[in-house]
Amino acid sequence: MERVIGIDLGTTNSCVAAVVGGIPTVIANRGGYKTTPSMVAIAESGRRLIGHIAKRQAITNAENTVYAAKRLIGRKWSDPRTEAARADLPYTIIQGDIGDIRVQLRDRVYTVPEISAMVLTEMKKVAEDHFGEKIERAVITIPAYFNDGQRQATKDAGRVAGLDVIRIINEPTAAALAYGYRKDIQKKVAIYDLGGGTFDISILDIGEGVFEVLATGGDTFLGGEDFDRRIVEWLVFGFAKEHNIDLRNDPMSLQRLRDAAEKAKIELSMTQTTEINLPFIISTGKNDSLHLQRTLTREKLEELTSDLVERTLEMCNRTLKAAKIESDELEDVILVGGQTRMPRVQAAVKEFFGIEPSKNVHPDEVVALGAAVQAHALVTQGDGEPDLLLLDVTPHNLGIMIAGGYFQTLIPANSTVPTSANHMFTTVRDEQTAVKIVVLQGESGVAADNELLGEFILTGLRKAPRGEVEIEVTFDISPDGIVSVSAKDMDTGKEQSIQVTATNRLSDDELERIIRENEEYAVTEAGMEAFGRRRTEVERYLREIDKLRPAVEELMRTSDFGGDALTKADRLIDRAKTAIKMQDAAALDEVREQLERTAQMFKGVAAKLNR
Amino acid sequence: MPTKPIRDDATVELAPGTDLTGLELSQREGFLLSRVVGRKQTVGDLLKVAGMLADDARTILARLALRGVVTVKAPGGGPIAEDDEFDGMVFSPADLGAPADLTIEQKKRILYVEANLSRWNHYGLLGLKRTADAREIKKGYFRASKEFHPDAFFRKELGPYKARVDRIFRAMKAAYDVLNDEKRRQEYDDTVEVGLTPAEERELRELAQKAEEKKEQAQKDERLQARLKDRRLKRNPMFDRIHKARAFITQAETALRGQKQAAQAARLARLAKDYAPQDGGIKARADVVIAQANLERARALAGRAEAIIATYENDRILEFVDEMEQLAPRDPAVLLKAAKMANSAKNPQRALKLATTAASLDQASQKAREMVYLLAAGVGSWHTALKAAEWLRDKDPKSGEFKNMVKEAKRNL
Ligand SMILES: Nc1ncnc2c1ncn2[C@@H]1O[C@H](COP(=O)(O)OP(=O)(O)O)[C@@H](O)[C@H]1O
Ligand SMILES: [Mg+2]
Repeated sequence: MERVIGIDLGTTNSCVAAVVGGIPTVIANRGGYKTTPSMVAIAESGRRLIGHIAKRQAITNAENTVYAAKRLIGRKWSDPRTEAARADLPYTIIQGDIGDIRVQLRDRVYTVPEISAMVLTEMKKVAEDHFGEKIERAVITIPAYFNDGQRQATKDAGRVAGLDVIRIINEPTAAALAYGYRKDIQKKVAIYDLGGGTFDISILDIGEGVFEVLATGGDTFLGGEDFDRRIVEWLVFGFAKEHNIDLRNDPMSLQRLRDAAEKAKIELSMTQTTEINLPFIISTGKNDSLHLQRTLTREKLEELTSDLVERTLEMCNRTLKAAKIESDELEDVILVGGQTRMPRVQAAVKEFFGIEPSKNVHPDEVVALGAAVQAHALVTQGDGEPDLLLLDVTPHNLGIMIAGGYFQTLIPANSTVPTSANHMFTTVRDEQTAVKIVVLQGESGVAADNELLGEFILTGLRKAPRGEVEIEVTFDISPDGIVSVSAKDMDTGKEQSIQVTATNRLSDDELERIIRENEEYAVTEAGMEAFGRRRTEVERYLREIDKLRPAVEELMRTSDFGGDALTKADRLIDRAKTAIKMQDAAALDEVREQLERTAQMFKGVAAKLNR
Repeated sequence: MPTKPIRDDATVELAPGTDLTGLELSQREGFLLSRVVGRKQTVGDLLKVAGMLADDARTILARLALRGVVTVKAPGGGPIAEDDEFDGMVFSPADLGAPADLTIEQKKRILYVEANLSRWNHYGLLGLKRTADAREIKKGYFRASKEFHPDAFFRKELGPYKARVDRIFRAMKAAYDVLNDEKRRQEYDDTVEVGLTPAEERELRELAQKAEEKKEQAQKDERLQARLKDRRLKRNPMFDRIHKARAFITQAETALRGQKQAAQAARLARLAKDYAPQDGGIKARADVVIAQANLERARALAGRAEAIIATYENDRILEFVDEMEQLAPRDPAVLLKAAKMANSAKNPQRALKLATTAASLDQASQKAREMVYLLAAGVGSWHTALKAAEWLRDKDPKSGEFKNMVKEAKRNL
C-alpha cells in the first residue's frame, strides 16, 4: 500500500506522522525531535536553513529569518492585519503583484506559499529519511477558521513542496480524529486549540466511526505569540520609562526580547515567578551598554493576557450556540496546542465547560496524528464500509455581493462539506453579454467587510432583451473547504465560461516557475552538500600544511629550489582559500589534488628532518 | 421507468385482439414478439428461445406488457414480478455497463437510490421511520454518509456515477438538515404528504408476515398438542399405569362406601398403589382407603366376637385376635372385644395386654378398667388390679363395689 503522511503545518511548530501497522505514529527527525520549528532562514551563503538550525541562528540573523509565515499565508496585502504584522516582524514583507504578501530575504523575494513549502519539504524529508522511500502524498492541516484564500495558498505550498495534497483538513478536526480513532465512542466533544498563532474551537459529534463537526469557530490572529507580545510590550515600556529608549527599533534586541518573553511564559506554566535577564540588550553608543533585568510573576502574566483568554471563551460560547447544544451535553473537552499548557488557560476552559479537560492526547502531536489517520483512511477506502468518515463544515458564510454593496449568504457557515448552492443571475440590460459576480466569504452583512474570494465575469451571453437570459451559477465547497464556481445558461443548458479577475491566488504559471526554481535549488543544494564534503577535505590538507610549514621552511631555505616550492605552495593555499570563500566547487576540485600532493611532500620532508 | 423483472413461471401470450400490422416495434421487440405469437408458454421457456440476454428480454417483455401487446399471467394470479432488494427495478444495461470503479452491486445500489430520490421522503432517504428520535436520525444519516459521502469513493474513477453519488449525498444531507432541526422537522411533517417510508413498508410487511406466521404456528401447535396427547395416551406405558391406578382407586373408594366390601376396597387400593408407586396423590388416597377398610373389617370382626367365640377353636379365635389387633391397633372398642376373645380362648395374659392398651387409648372408659381389673386379678397381677380398682373408685367414690375391689387387691398384695 502506498505510504501517505499527515503534516501539521503549525504557526510555530510543525509535525509529521503516519499510520504504521494500523497505529498513528509521530515521526521524529534525525535529531530525535518530534516537532520542527516552522522557521526558515536564508544564510549569508544563500543557503536555506529550515527548522531547528533556522531557530538557532534567529537572533543573529533576525532580518532573514521567517517565523509565523502561517499568519501571512493567503492573506491580502490590503488586510488590516497585514499592517499590524508588518510593524511587528523583524523581516521585511512587501506587496506582491497580485495584492498578496511577499517576503524579502536578502536579495530575493519569496511568496508566502514558497516559505511554507520549505517547511513542508523539510517535514517530507523527515518522513522520507525515516521510511527510506519517496513520499508523495499527504494530508495537511490548517486552522479550521482559515478562509478559502488561506486554504488555497496552503494547498499551493504543498504543490511547491512536491506533495500531492490529497486533503486539507482542519486542525481541531484532526485532533478529534486522533482522539477517537478506532475507539468506538459515541459522544459530543469540544476541541480547544490554542497554538502559536491561531485559535480554533470545534464541536464534534462522534459515533459509528463518523466524525461530524457541528460547528467551528476561531480567530486566525490569536495565539501564543500574542501572549509573548504582551510580555515584550511590558518589558519594552518598562525599559522605555527607565531609559527612554524603544527597544523595538533594534531588530536584534526585539528578537532577544521575544525569545526571552516566550521562555519566561513557558517557565511560568510551572513556576510562580521567573527572572528575565538580558545583559547588553542595547548599546548606547559611547562604549557603554544597557542591561535589562526584571522579575515576572505568574499573576502578572495572567493579568497581561486575561483579555486574550477571555476572547477565546467568547468564541467558545458563540460556537456552542452555532452547534445548537448546551455545554452540559459535551462529554469531553480536548486541549490542543502548546499555549494550552498555561494553567490559567486550562482553568478557564475547565470553568467554562464545567469539565476537566481530557489528558489523553498530546497537545503537540495530536493534530499530525489526526492528519495521518485521515490520510490513511482516504487511501485505504475500499469496497466495504469505510473505517472512518469525516463530516466537516465550512467555517464562514459564502455569498455574493448584491445591489447596494450588501452581502447575500448562499451557503451559511457550519454547513457540512461538500456542499453547493445555486443562484440565478439574469441580465439587467437589453443585449447584455456579461455579468459580474463578486464572491465573498465572511460574517458581515456588508460585502466590503468580508473577504473577497474573487470576481467572476460570465462572458459571451447570448444577446436578448433584459431579464431573458438566465444563468444558474453553482457555488461549490469541496471537502477541503475550497470554493469553486460554475455557471450554466438555463435556456440553452450550455456551460458558461467564467473568468476570474480578482484574486490573490498565485497563477498556475507563477506556481510552475516557483516549482522549477525550487527544483533547481534542490539540485544546487545537493551540489552544496558535495561542496561541503570537498571543503572539509581541503581544510584538512590546509591544516596539515600549516602545521608542517615552519619545519619545511627551515630545511628548504638551505636548498636552491626550496624557495620556489614554498611560493608555489603558498599560491595553492591562497587559491584554495578563495575557492572556499566563493563556494566555488569547480575551483576547489582543481586545487584539491595539488594540495593533497603538497601535503604529502611536506610530510616527507618533515619525516627526513626528524631522522 | 423502473419496472419489476417478470417471473420465469409466469405465462405469456399475445393479448387477444392485438392487431400486429398496426404496431410500431423496434427490431428486437418485433423479434421477441415473433416468439410469442401463436403459443402460450412460460416466460422461462420464452427466454430460452428469445436469442438475447435474459435481462434485456425481460425489459422488452415488460414494455410490451405495459403497452398491452402481450398478456403475462402469474400462476395462481399472483404478482408477475418478484420482489428484490431493489424493489424489482430493472437496470439499463447501458447504465450498468458504464465504466466506473464500482462493483455491479454498488452500481445497482446507486442507480436504485438515485431513481428514488424524488419519490422517497426525507425519512425514506435516510432509511428511517417517522417515529425516529434524534439519535436514530443521526444514526441514519451517519449510515447514509458512510455509504454515499464522496470520501467513500475517494480516488475512484466514478465516471457517470460521480454526479449520481453527489446528488444522493446532497439529498441525504438536505433531508438530515430538516429532520435534525426540531422546528423544520415539525414543519415538514405538517406540510408534506408523507407516504410510508421504505423502512416502514418493510416493517409493516414483516409485521404482517410475522402475524401470518404466528397464526400458522398457533394452528400447528394445536394440531401437534392433540397428536401428542393421543400418542401419550396410546403409547406411554407410564401413562397407562397411572390411568389404571386411578381407575382402581376410584373403584376402591366406591367399594368402601358400599359397606361390607372393605376387604375388596383394600385390595383395590393396594393394586392402585402398585400401579403408580410414584404417584403421591394415588398413594395417599389408597392409604386412606386401606386404613378405612382395615378398621371396617376389624369392627366387623369385633361385632361378631360372641359368634366367633362360640363357633371356633381356641387357636382360630386367637388368629382372629391377631388380625383384629393388626387391623385396628388403635381402636379401644375393637381391642376390648379382642381381649374378651383372647380370655375366652384361654390366653388371659394376652387379654390383659389388649385390655391395658385399650384402657390407655381411651382414658375415660370405665369398661376398659373393669376388664383390666378382672383380668389382672385373674392372673394374679394385683399391682395392675389395684391401680385399675383405685382408678374406678376415684371415678365413682360412692360405689361400694369399687371400694371392695380396692380392698381385695390390697389384701392380696
Ligand atoms: N509550557 C508552555 N506554557 C505556555 N505556552 C507554551 C508552552 N509550551 C509551548 N507554548 C506556546 O505554544 C505555542 C506553540 O504551540 P503549537 O501548538 O506548537 O503552535 P502551532 O500549532 O500554532 O505551531 C507557542 O506560542 C509557545 O510559546
Ligand atoms: Mg497547532
